[in-house]
Amino acid sequence: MTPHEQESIFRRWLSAHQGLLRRVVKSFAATSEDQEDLLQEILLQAWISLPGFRGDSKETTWLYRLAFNTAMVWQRKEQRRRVKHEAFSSLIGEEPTSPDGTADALIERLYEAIRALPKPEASLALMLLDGLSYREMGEVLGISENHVGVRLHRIRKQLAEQLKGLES
Amino acid sequence: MNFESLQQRWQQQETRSQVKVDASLILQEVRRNHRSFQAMIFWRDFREVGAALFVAVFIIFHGRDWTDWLLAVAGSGVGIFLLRDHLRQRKQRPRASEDLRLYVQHSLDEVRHQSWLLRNVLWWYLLPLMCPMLISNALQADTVRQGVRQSVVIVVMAWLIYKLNQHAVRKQLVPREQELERLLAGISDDSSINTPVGILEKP
Repeated sequence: MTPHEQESIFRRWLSAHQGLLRRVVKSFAATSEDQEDLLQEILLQAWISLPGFRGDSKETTWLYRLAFNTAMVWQRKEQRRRVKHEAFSSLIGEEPTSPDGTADALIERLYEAIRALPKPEASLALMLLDGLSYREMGEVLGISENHVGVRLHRIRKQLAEQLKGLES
Repeated sequence: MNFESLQQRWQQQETRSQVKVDASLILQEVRRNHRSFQAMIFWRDFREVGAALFVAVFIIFHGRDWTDWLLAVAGSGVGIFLLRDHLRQRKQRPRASEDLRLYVQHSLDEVRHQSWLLRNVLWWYLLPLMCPMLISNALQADTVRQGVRQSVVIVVMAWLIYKLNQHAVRKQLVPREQELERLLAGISDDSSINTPVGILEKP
């Protein structure tokens, strides 16, 4: 892959999959500073790993893997706290709002519930809500489809518990 | 609320809050981060390997007798060992695009290896350097008293370095290792719960 191709693909993915990246960082980091830090880490890993992308898997599967892997082992590093950059803040975006313009409480509660899950479960919950198939989820996590099914059963129950108050 | 409507609402958040991003600015930041990441790796390797090799080369040119050559050989040995280890580890480094289970496993292997290195720092770093220093000191000291004093300083320095390394293992690597082990167990866990679900029925 030439540097020009790398840049071109990176720009295209950034535009096409910003929603995916935003959902991942919001599912793993609570504060906007942490979200920005994690996003920088994910984009850095994407840039470094991009030349290794051979198209064996779908680009979304590849991106989910990369984003989750980075988020899984991501730790807040106080010592090398990064400078806040407008570019990353804008990619994370504002809180989602309902059609009437008010902050979507359900979505925010859902993010909180996902963040409360253990990290592997949080990844599965996110992919479930994003509408990925069991096969795709299995490919991202490296586990069987049956295993995915069992885990999702438990995750649905946990999320249901967390969202009980908002059922109405 | 059933699962479909929740999922629909979840997926609508993207269209509602889609923002126009400045890809050039982000790319510029990513490249800057990449450069600082590469610089960090380079200087870390340079510090660890370069220092040992520098000492060895310095002694080769300024050594006075066989005890100095012995220290040069030990320094080269430590430098070569570290260089070989870095190259081997670089090949086995986890790739961010592999599946989660493999990635966490490779990350865990990496941390365990680092832990092993620091736990055994006495054998591959301290003793090979300390022994030639002590021999050289014993043979070249003007008086027995001076020889003993310098030997004690060398041993105390080595002990401090050893303790610092063990502290790093306990405070940084062991907690990281345990965290990754928990993560790996979490990914591989296949226990099932057969209880009814409420709000989020299977689609």
